[in-house]
Order: sequence, then structure tokens, then C-alpha cells
Amino acid sequence: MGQQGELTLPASRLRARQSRSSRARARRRAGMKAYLLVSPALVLFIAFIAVPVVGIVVFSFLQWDLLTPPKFAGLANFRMLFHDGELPQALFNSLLFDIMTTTLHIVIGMGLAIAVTSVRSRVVRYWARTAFVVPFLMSAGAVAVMWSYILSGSTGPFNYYLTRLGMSPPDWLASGTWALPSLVGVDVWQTVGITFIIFLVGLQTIPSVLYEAAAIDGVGAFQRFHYITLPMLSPATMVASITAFIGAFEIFTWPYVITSGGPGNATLTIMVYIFRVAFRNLELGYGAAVAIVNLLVLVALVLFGFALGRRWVHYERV
Amino acid sequence: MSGSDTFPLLARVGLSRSLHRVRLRRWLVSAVLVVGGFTMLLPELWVLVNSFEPSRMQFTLPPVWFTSHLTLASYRQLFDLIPFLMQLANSVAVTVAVVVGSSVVSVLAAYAFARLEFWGRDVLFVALLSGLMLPIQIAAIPEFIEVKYLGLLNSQLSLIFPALIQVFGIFLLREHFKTIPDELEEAARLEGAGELQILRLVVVPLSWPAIYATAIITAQYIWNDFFWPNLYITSASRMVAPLGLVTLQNAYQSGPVGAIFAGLSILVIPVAVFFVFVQRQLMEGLGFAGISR
Repeated sequence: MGQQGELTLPASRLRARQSRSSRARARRRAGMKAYLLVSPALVLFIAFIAVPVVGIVVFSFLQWDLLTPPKFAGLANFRMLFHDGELPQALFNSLLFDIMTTTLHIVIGMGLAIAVTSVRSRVVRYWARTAFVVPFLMSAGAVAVMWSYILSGSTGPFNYYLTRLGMSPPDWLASGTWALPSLVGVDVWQTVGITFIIFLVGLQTIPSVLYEAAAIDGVGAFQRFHYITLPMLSPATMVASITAFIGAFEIFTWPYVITSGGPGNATLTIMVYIFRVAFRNLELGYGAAVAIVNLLVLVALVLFGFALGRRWVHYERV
Repeated sequence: MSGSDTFPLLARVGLSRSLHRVRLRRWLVSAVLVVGGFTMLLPELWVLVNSFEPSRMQFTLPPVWFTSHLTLASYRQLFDLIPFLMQLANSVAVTVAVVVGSSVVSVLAAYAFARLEFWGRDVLFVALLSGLMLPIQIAAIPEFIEVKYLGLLNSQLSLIFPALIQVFGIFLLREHFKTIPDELEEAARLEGAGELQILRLVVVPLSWPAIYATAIITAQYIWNDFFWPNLYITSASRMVAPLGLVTLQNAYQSGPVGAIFAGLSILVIPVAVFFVFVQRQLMEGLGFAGISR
């Protein structure tokens, strides 16, 4: 078959072939230049991503307090991991925070996107897009400071209004039970806008034919959501979940600024713990060992997430 | 859900009663969105109003929403306590430097990965991509030591250099560069253009939306970041603004609330300006990034 093709090559195909081979030659010549173009990125990648990541492994075998020269510690740091009562707590808090915030992101983000798409008024759409995205543009440190005043138990406006509504709210940030969920609330407030936009763009890719067919068949709103919107949005859901999940596991700013990991260790997340071990207790080697645990747990969770995703993400396009 | 398409169809099928219901539901949804959006902005509004209140009034209950004794005392107090305008300038400068620098780095690399052939290209690219999934804070300890030995501790450069590599930027731009038709590049090559000229005259002019998108996402990321400034910067005059406010809050028992509210209010100004100018690109950029990731 290939030979037949050779015999009857039309002029245009022939020209295309020639240009392809000349392009290949040009590209070969570009080899050296290509390395030059890539080199800034490559140098930066090695210096600020690859070396630090390999560095965690190296550091985890050291005993180093920054004040005296580092000493080789063998497996001591790893042995310490098993006797560390705070590490499981930190991993558990990170995971709990992560599951709560990722779930809320998906539910609220998708709900908002569906709501905004169903509304016809341009003004309402514009308003919703603006109001829900603006917090995303504020800086996390500033957001943390702001919410520490709003959620304050005795003087904060949040509890004042809840009390006026007849509730008896807890002192959110001082409560061992409620401090972590409060931080989830702050996180969702600031970043739900991005999930919302991802779903908004995802919804625009669903062909309207599907909804028209459903309308003719007299399908109800819930069935429309269950059989069309949800499966068609599943790739966007996958993207939004994985992005939110990875980010939220390493949450630092809220527990560090708003609650300092407290009360007790109620909001001690893994990143706050690493920071505390390495830069406050000056145990850099042990901090690195904890970082390795963090990395392994995260990789395992993400792989688990992908495996789940493969089961129900629907990639078919109409 | 693409209302304008469903609408005439519904009418044609003759479901005028459910049409009323659809209209009612739309009204309800609109109302919820308007009120919900307003609620999202209430915290900022409360902070803004109370930044013009006399000191300590921020703790009065019921919360103040309309200030009757307008004063700039809190702003004066803020500027007395910390070099806030300097910190704001640091924030903007670091963000701009990273956006410009990383854009150049990303465009160059993305062009090579998308349109040139060289030995080890795919292996290199996969290695780069591994950095996409990794939250680099995990490697903070070695990176801290590295920055220390480079002599960059407590310098804004410590916030700029490590951020110049934005892996997702390279990834997004590469995806875009691959869609540019070969013919344009061929034509330029026949005219004797070199790689840099092709990049400057053909590829970049056709890619501004993608470049804006990556630039905006990078800007948000840098502006939002608290982890690295908190780790590297210790002197007030070199801090970025949010770190300045956090430090101010920690320096005093319960913090000089008025001054902090004043700082928070000022900090929203660049965000608002940014938002007004780039809203459309921002939406496209965020959506684009979401989909391609």
C-alpha cells in the first residue's frame, strides 16, 4: 500500500514531503540553539526544584541545627518518626482539612457555575463572577489577618450576627472542635472563585443539543443534572479536585497566621509542623524526614485519586 | 444551561406552564446569586468602613457599617508603625519582576519544547512536568539553606529568583505554540529568519492571549504567596505588604486594629485596579489554566 502511494504521489504531497525534510534539517541545525533557549528554564529548574527535592533526602540523614556544622545521623531521624505523637495528628489534620475543603470547593463551585449559567441577565452574571473571584485576588496573609478579627468570639461581627439570629455559636478559633472547620470556611471564601471559573468554562463546552433533546423528552431538572451535566463536567471536576487537593494538603497560611496551629494542636497541619520543627526547633534533619513522609502520603493520595478518577471520569465528547 | 437555545424549543413543544416555572426559578437563582455575591464582599466592606473609624471602635458591637466620625487616624498610625507604602511597593515590584522574568523564561523554553527537535527533549519535558504536581514548599528546608548560601536571605531577590521557573507556564505555552501552523514558520525560515526572529515575529504575536493567561496566573500566585516571604524576609522595609500586616498584628497584643484595617484597605486598591483592567483575560486565563491542567 505504501508503495502504491509512492508511485502516485500528487505534486502537492511531494512538495509537502520536501518541505518536511528541509524542516527536519533546519530543526537539526537548531539543536544547539534549542539548548540555549531551554537553558534558563533548565538552570532554574535544577537550582530551585530538583536540587531542593533531592536535598530533602540528603538532609533527612543529617543532624543539623544551623548553628553548628551538620553531622551524619544515619537513620536516627527516621527512627524518631515512629515515636512522634504530633506527626500523625498533623497528617490527620491536613487530610481532614483537605477532604472538607475539596468537597466544599467542588459542591459550591459547581453549584455556582450551574446557577450563573442558568441565569440570563448579563448584569447578574457579571456581578456573580466579580464578587466570587475578588477574594481570590486578595493576598492570603491579608485574608488571614482579616478573618482573625471577623471570627473573633467576643468582638467579631460574625458571632454577633449569629447570636442575634438566636444561635449560640462557639468561639470558633478557640474551640478544639471548630477551629479547623473555621479555617476551611476561610479557605473556601478565598478560593472558591477559581473552582467556580473552572466549572463555568467546563459548562460552556457542553453542547446545547443534549439539553434540547432532554427538553423534548420531558426530562426533569434533577435528571438533566445527573445524566448530562455531571458526566460532561467530570473532566473539569477531576482537574478541580486534584488541584484543590494538592494545594489544600500543604495548607500553611491559615493555621500559621490565624490559629498558630492551636488551640492545642487542633489546627496543626503538616506544613506548619515542618516549619515548626525546622525553623523554630532548628531540627533541619528531622524536618526533612517529616517532609519525606509528607511527600509519600501526598503521592499515595493523588495516585488513589487518579485511580478513582479513571473509574468515573467521562472523556467522551459529542 | 444555554437558555436561549432551550427556550424557543420549550415553547414550540408547548410547555407554556413549565415555562412560567422556568422563569420563576431564574428569578430565584438571580436573587440568590446577587445576595450571595454581596455576602462574599461584606468582610472587605466591614474592614474598609472601620478603617475610617476612631481607634478601638473596630471592636464595638453591633458592628459599624456606616461611619459617622470619619477620621484618617488609623492610616496615620499605620504609616507611623511600619513602612507600609514601601512594603506595598515591594509587593508590586516582586510580582512584576517575577511575571516579566518568568514569562521570558517560559516563552523561550516553551518554544524550544514545542517547535524544535533536540536530543533529550521529551525526557527533559517529563522531568519538568513532575514539578507541576509537586508543591515546592515541601522542599522548603533545603531551599532555605540554598538561598542562605546564595546570600539572598532577607532580600527581595530570594522571592524573585526561585519563582522565575513556573513549570505550568512552560506547559501552557507549549500547548499553545504547538497549535501555530507550520507554514508561517516555514515562510519566515525561507526569508532567512533565525529562531529568535521566528519567536519574536511569528510565534509571540500569535500567542498574546496565552501569554497573558500565564502571566495573570503567575501574578496571582506571587501576590497571594505568604509562605516564602514569611520564611525569607525579616526586616520590615523589605517585607511584602501582607507579611508586614501579619508581623504588625503579632507585634502587639491583639494588634493595633485600626492601623491593620487601614493597611488591609490600601492593599485592596491594587487588586481592584488589576481586576478592572484584566477581568476578561483573568477569566479566560483561569478557565484556560483549569482546562489545560
